Amino acid sequence: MKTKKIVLFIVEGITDKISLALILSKLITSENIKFHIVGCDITSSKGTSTANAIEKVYDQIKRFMGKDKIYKKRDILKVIHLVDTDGAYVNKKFIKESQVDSFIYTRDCIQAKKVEDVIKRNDQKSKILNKLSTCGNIAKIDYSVYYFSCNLEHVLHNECNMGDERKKEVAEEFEELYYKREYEFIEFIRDKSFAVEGDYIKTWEFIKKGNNSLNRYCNLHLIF
Amino acid sequence: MVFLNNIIVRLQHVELINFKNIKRGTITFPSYTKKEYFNKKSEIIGLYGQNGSGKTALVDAMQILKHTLQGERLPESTYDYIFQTANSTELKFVFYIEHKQERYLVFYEFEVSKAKNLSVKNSKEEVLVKISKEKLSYKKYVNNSWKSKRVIIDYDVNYKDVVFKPIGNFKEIVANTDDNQVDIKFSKKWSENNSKSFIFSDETRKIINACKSWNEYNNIINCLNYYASTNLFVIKNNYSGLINMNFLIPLSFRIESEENITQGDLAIELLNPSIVSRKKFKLIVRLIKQMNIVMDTIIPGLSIEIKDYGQQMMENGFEGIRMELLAAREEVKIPLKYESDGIKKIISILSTLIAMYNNNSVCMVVDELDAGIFEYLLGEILQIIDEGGKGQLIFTSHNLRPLEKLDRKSLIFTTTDPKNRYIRFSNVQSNNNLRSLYYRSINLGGQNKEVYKETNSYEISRAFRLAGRTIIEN
Repeated sequence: MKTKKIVLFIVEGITDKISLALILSKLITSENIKFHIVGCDITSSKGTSTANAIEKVYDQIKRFMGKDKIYKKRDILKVIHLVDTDGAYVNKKFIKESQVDSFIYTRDCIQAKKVEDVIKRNDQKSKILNKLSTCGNIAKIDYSVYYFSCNLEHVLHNECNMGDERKKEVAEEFEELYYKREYEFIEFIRDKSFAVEGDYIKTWEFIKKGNNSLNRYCNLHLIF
Repeated sequence: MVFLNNIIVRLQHVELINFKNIKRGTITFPSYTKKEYFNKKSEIIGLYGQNGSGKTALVDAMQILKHTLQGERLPESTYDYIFQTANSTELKFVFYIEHKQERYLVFYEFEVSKAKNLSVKNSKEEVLVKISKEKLSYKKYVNNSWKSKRVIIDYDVNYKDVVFKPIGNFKEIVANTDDNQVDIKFSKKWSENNSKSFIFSDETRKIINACKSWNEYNNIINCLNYYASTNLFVIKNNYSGLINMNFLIPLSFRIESEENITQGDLAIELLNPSIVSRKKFKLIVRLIKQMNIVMDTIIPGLSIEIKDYGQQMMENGFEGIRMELLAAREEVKIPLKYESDGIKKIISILSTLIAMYNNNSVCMVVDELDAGIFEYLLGEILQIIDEGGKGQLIFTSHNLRPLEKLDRKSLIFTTTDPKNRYIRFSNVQSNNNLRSLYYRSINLGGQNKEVYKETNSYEISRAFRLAGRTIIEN
């Protein structure tokens, strides 16, 4: 008998997993859905560059395989990397100085104590996203990146500056909302108000334009 | 009975039908598949599977076999072992027997039926189950080949004119003496009304023993009876229950001496010193001495000692000895009751393990062998038995360390299919780590049968959160 294959979702934190793992595991039953939590944003973390970005993602895939030591590379059908755009593609002029503790995202600007920090982050993040979203496979494993703009909470809850505790609460609520009616999630994620039209390449081209990476957009519907 | 000392009995094959949650399940020892039957080495079968998938069912079936072959009354719990929607369960066994120069393959199968409405005359005690069918047949090895199968007794409570078939065999018994016709019919009624085996009941065996033309049949029946009473050990998990209750320490033991073999369960009180007979005390001294040889090697520095408080009158008026078991580590001696559950568990099965290691005919069936035992030690002990042991060991376990230690053929996994409960893994390469393969099969499938009823870990974490909320609300 043939073995099932794994679809590996790489996500940043536990709230991404709570929000989506149960729903996706019920919707995609022909494959085994696994979630790997990185614990930080690979695309903006210290030490990641365009030169090593693919390697860093591959490290995470290896970390997933190494944990249980039971999966082989060929067990993984594809890797789906979920990222927040965090306004990475906005023009410098939309980054504004303000007395805030962390970056604040609004419809038309990013507020930060030091504008420089955001510029630097965006430069790194956008270049790495460009590289990852176009690379197609990592170590011969099918690989693609889907985005939540400007972040997961923005798309799922229409709110983009949530604290960690609140994030967890709404993630649990979201999971509960679709429990036993998971198929309705497909309708939700195809909502015309934020589901970007076009194929994978087109949706990525779209998000890079203007302030789009700050606004409520998503291309996750493409996985269905 | 001494002549039976040099017999070898080895279990080859077990088949369970409508037993507990098993519609059908078969377990075959590798040597039976290979038609080797007995190669003087140990044989291990480890049974793995998720909770409630039928592992303990095999242990329960072996317990019933033991009762049956010993001609004992089946426990009332047997009723609950019959598959819920069925009226009866069938258990089939194949044994290999070496007795003097003879070699046999013996097939024993029996059916246990629900008999709720049957009540014994002159007794209010209700009989819940009866052994409704029994069939004993065998093949003999003669001149380098196995002769065709011969039926010794084919018994069915519903047979009208004869107590059992083949008619030729029945006539031989009946013709032996005048009383036999009456006796054998009595034996039938007696076993039926007492939830006992007809073939292995004392009454039937007495009749058969007296029949000279039945010499070979008689030997086979006696061998199996002896095997069940002396060499077959079934250690169920309620045993550990006793340990955890800190009340009694059950010791399974088997001690060989020139005159006889003593086996059984011995319960020694843990909370207070026990008063035991002189004979029992002597036995305990020997048992502990034997155990300590191994004990020190697996739990370094630990030995068991017996504190002798001297003579005291027993409840029955005879003189006994008041004693207590102590755990000794170097200078420190503490009552055994204060030892860890794991150590108590090891002590409780050690004597049987030693017997199984050293004797070809001993078959030890242990439920949850891993309970309370450090996984590294468990792996080492199994490897030692695998490499140098002589007897047969059947165990269930949740700990997966043995998967890294034992051969593929020693490992059987439960499936989610009630019609085919037990499988061995296929597609195993020699460099495969079976533990990883098992996890892979749970997650990704790949075996002929599903070995795990899917649990969704995301759903489990949701449930945990939900349950937590309920508690807070309350």
